[in-house]
Amino acid sequence: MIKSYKARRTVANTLIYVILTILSIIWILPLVWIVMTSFSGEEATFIDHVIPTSWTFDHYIDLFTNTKVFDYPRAFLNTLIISIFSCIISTFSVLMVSYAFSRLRFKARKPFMNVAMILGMFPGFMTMIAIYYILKVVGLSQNIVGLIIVYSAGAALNYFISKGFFDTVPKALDEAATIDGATKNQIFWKIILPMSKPIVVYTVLTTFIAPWTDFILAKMLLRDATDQYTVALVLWNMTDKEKVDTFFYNFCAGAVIVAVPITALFLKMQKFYVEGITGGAVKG
Amino acid sequence: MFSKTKKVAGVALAAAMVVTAFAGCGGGSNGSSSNTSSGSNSNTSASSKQEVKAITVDEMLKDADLALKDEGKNEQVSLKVWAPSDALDTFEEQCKAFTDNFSDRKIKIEVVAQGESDAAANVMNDPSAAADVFGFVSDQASKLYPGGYVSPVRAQYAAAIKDTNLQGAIDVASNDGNLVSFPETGDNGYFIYYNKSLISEDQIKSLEGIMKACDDQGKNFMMNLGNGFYGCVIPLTAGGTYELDADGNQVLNYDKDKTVKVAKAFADLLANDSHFVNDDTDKVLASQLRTKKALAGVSGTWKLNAMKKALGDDFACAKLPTIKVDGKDTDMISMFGYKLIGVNANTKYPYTAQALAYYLSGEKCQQERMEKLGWGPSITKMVESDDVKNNTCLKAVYEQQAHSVPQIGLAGSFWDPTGAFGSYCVEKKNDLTEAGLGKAFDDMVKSITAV
Repeated sequence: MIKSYKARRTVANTLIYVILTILSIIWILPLVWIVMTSFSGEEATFIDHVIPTSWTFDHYIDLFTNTKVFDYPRAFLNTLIISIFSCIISTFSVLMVSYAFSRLRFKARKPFMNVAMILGMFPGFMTMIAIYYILKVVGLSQNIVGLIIVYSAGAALNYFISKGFFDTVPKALDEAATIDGATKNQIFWKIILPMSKPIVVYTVLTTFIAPWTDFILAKMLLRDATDQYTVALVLWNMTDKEKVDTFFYNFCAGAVIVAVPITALFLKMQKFYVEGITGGAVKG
Repeated sequence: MFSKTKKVAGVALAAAMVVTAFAGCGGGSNGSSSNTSSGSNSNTSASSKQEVKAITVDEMLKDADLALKDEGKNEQVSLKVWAPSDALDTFEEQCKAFTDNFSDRKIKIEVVAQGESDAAANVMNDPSAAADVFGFVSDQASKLYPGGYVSPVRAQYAAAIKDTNLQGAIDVASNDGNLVSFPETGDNGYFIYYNKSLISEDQIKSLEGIMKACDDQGKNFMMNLGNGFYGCVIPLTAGGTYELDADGNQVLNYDKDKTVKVAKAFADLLANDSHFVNDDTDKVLASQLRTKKALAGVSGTWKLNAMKKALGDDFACAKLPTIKVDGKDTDMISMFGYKLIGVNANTKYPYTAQALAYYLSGEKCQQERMEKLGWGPSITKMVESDDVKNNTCLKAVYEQQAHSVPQIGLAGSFWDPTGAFGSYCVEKKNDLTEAGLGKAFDDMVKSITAV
């Protein structure tokens, strides 16, 4: 039995650190592996050593210049367009719906919230075939415009997190603004929104990442429209059994590049996370 | 009284609705099927086969009225072709040659990149959005044929194709004796890639020789018996065949005694030899050959470029080795696949699509693809040509093709149990007596044929 408090604390800490280290290694190893492999100068695809014996940047260059078989730059641009547009549309619709549910009191508010909640729980791929045929009728299948519409249309169903956030913003602010003559619309844009940066950032990030990483809907809708392909589809095609030998390293490079816009977006928006939420807005 | 009339009327109305609903469906499918059968000239019945005059590709190209009927005279014909992304250029050139040939007709062909290995799923998801003419690998046939997703080949073309192509290619292109797709390649099979500086041409001929070379040099021989595609070598070498019954269930014509003998031969030779590696060769063989950990291994044409790169000057291919069964050298018999071209049953221009598919499967196009892409032909005359004989890889492919069973008539349940049996035979922890192998054989047959 260890008596001293200090010794016990040391033992406990060591144990915790060992567990955390193991977990973090397990978590980070695939990432390190893919980044390392993307710079590997090895010739063979499946090698029996982890750290490559030579290094090269060629796979990245090849990925963006050799566009004959797989047009990665085009796919990257397509995905960026889809993500940016769905991100903008979704962010506004999510925030507006959340604000309405949080602040306004109307007759069917509760039922609406429940219905939206339940609909939001159905997995997206459930209705995918129906979506495909509906878009086909309107002539938007095999087209990134169709994808943008689908990604942003249902986004508002995920209102509950931002609604929870708006609920914590004191109602006194709205009342004060109303007394000063502001309309509901003005309150939302000029008072509530500037104070809700963390939730705006959160919404932007989630609504950007969802289309950015989506595979199943893009695969379903785009089919053979190769000039509209997204990054996920191109990467998936690179691992086809007849192509994987030639394109394996390009695949790794492509997979690493996928992380770039998300990381950039996060770094850019990160500072808003730490800023105070409603600090100083209401005096106690 | 009144309520009864109402009920009767209600039932009658409902029935009428149902009838009209179904009538709608029937009309639709009738329309499309008559459309396709007109494309195939509806001469697919066995009795009229003899009377059909075969039309060669050249004859077809010369006679636009015969090949295309009225299509493209007044309206614009537009077709979509699916080809693998690395073969896109070649197919575009070939399609252009086709439209140039019929320059007095308005034909526009768009070639789109789409893999051949998942063509069935892509077509079946939405046939109307799929390509009019598409390439697919023979394992997709079991999905495409029964559903009628491909339209039968015009009888005059079919007659010519049957005269000129490998029997195996015709088998996989046929459904119930009717040709329903166009043979594109005759090379989708597996064989041995080996390092010719490590093992001689003589030794590679028998499995005993290979294993001796491996043991002497401490290097490996790799074959993925755990995968049904390769593992089926054991029952097939014993003379087994397979087919589907009318309900689509797997029928195995395996002889248990013979199969157990072959399995025993595999087990005796390989199970206790640490230099035999039963691993995913499609993934690891190239690296193993490059690092000289393995001196030979079994994989297919789809890995050709990787193997060439891995072996460099030591690159060599051979057909599968013989194995001593009951003291007799027996050729290993493999499953052999082909690539085919299908014409979408939903195409709006059946004659043009058929003519294009026929052109693409013709000798000129096959020759071009062999030269530019290294795809092996399915036309018998070309298989016997010097182009093939002087090509290390294709030579091995066709030598193996002579000892193969075509990849058609397989249910989805075939693969896993066959692979499990293949693995069972070469793992020394298992009961590898004849009784033990017999039991493993029974288990395999039971799980494949159990519905």
